[in-house]
Amino acid sequence: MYNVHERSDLGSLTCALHRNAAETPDHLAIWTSTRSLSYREFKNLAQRFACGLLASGIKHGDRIAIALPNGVEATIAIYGILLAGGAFVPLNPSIKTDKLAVILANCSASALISTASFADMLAPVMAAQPNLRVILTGNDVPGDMLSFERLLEKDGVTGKPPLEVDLAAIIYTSGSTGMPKGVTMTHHNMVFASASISAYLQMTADDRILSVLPLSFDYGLYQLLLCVHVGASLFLEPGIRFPGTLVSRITTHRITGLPGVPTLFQVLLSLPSLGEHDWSALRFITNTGAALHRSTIQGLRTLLPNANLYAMYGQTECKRVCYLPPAEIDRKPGSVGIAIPGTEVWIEDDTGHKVAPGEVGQLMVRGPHVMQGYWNDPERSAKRLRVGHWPWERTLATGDLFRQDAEGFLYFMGRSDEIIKSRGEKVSPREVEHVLLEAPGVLDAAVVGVPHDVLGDAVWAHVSPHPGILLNPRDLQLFCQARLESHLVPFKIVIHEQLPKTPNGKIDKRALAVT
Amino acid sequence: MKYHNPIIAAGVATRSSKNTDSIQELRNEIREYICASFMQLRRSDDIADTDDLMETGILDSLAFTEIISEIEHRYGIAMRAIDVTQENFGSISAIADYVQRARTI
Repeated sequence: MYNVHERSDLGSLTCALHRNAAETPDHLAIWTSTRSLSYREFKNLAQRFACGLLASGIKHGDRIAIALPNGVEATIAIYGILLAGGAFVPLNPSIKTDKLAVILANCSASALISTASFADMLAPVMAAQPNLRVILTGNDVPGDMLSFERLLEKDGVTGKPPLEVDLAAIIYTSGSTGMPKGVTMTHHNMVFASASISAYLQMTADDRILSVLPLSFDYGLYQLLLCVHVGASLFLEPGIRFPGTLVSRITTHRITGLPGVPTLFQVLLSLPSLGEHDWSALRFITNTGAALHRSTIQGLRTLLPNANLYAMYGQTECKRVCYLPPAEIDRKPGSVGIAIPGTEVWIEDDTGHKVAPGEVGQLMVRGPHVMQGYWNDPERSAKRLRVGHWPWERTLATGDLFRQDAEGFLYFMGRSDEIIKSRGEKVSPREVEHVLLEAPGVLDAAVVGVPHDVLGDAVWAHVSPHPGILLNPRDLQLFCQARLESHLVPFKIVIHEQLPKTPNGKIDKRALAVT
Repeated sequence: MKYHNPIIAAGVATRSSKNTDSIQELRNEIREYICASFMQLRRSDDIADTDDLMETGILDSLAFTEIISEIEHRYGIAMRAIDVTQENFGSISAIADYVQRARTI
């Protein structure tokens, strides 16, 4: 019988998986410290998982949440869901019951995939959603839940594959109200973003990427999508943990690409005798989440003189906005660069007009990577998606403040909702944080506005020291006074042992605002 | 730049310079240091020699930026990057064993 669906997945995320399994079946796809899969094995397992999902009653278009640590199971789950025509919803494996229940209800998930250690906390979630299938990895799977391993025993055909225009994923981000927002991405959105990012990183099938970033975080998730897009190999680690292990992995496995956030690079550079290892295979490093300190950039360049260092900025609503071409890092210090290939960015004032170079305004983004909206939330979607150039097009209003220099290079100035107005003047928290981070012994700094009778908002700085250091607020105040205009100098400096972090590792300013 | 905790370092400097410490004394010193530097809100007897320092959340990867220079300085060991593994730094016992091995080399 003629298979009418044979080529209907053209342009979808699953297309690259099929291509790699056909063209380079024995090439390494995913590996961890305990297991490795070739592209043939990876596709076969994902296909089996898709069959298992369909046999359990999952239908085309269903949303399926994944709360798994980094490992081969998570990668099989992601591609298995896509092959079955479903959309995956990646969640932090340390998510707590209340938030999990809110998200599963918001996207009316038909299944949740997690580890057996999760089983105990799921009773209230399952009671609230009686139709939810729970699929658990490991051996101790209770009777009312499904075994991940058993689902892999199904073999067969998956039926109708996803189209490019189908929903591929919903990625939840924290909203300013505290209610998570589900960013909806089609296959087209995600394939385009993968193509654009892999183009500027010049990725090929020969690349070997090591990722410590959680797959539940879009930066971590895209390491998988990028590798599959170009047929490269991905080594997954569950986190930074013991950094000596990472050094061994990077140097003995001849890793070519290392994506990270500033903490990873700071920890790696603090290790002794790094120079005795052969780092020559490592050809690129990417950073996002927060800007790298000048000393970190210098340390990376000394250790890895031949590696390209990419500073980048993005938000889940369009995956990635911009990157700084590595050759420009000295000419444009502090810049996050230019729009990623195939997209356009500009800066608008409050009235929706483009601003002149050097002026601060809201960053706007145009391109096939812009989300379709927040799931089940037209009101908040309308705030971020504006009428675009064409009747069918939507432009993303990022909510973040930037300036662009005369050549078009972008500089992050802060989030618009974080801008503090003190003594009638605008204060960019980022600007104050940069100075605090330069002070000796300061590890983290977060600046927030606190309502004040006289000042309007008072600038409060929350600071944490490097381990073992005692910070003095008075010294920090003097340090800031020497380096900042008077209205920017913190009104109050609070020293913390550690600053509160969101599950993605960013400083949780909302938690600080209420302290 | 290396940071040291002067209170702890002063307390153990004379003893640790000798190579005669028993392994239990070494564990006690390391426990004292970890408690003072990373567990300011907890009591020292909360932590057993074999407790997994990472799983219990006492240490995170950032802590190694400080521990490495402290161990090197205190015990006169030249550490290597690849020594910072679960086997050598997973628990107080593991760190003590590592220090003892490294000192006798």
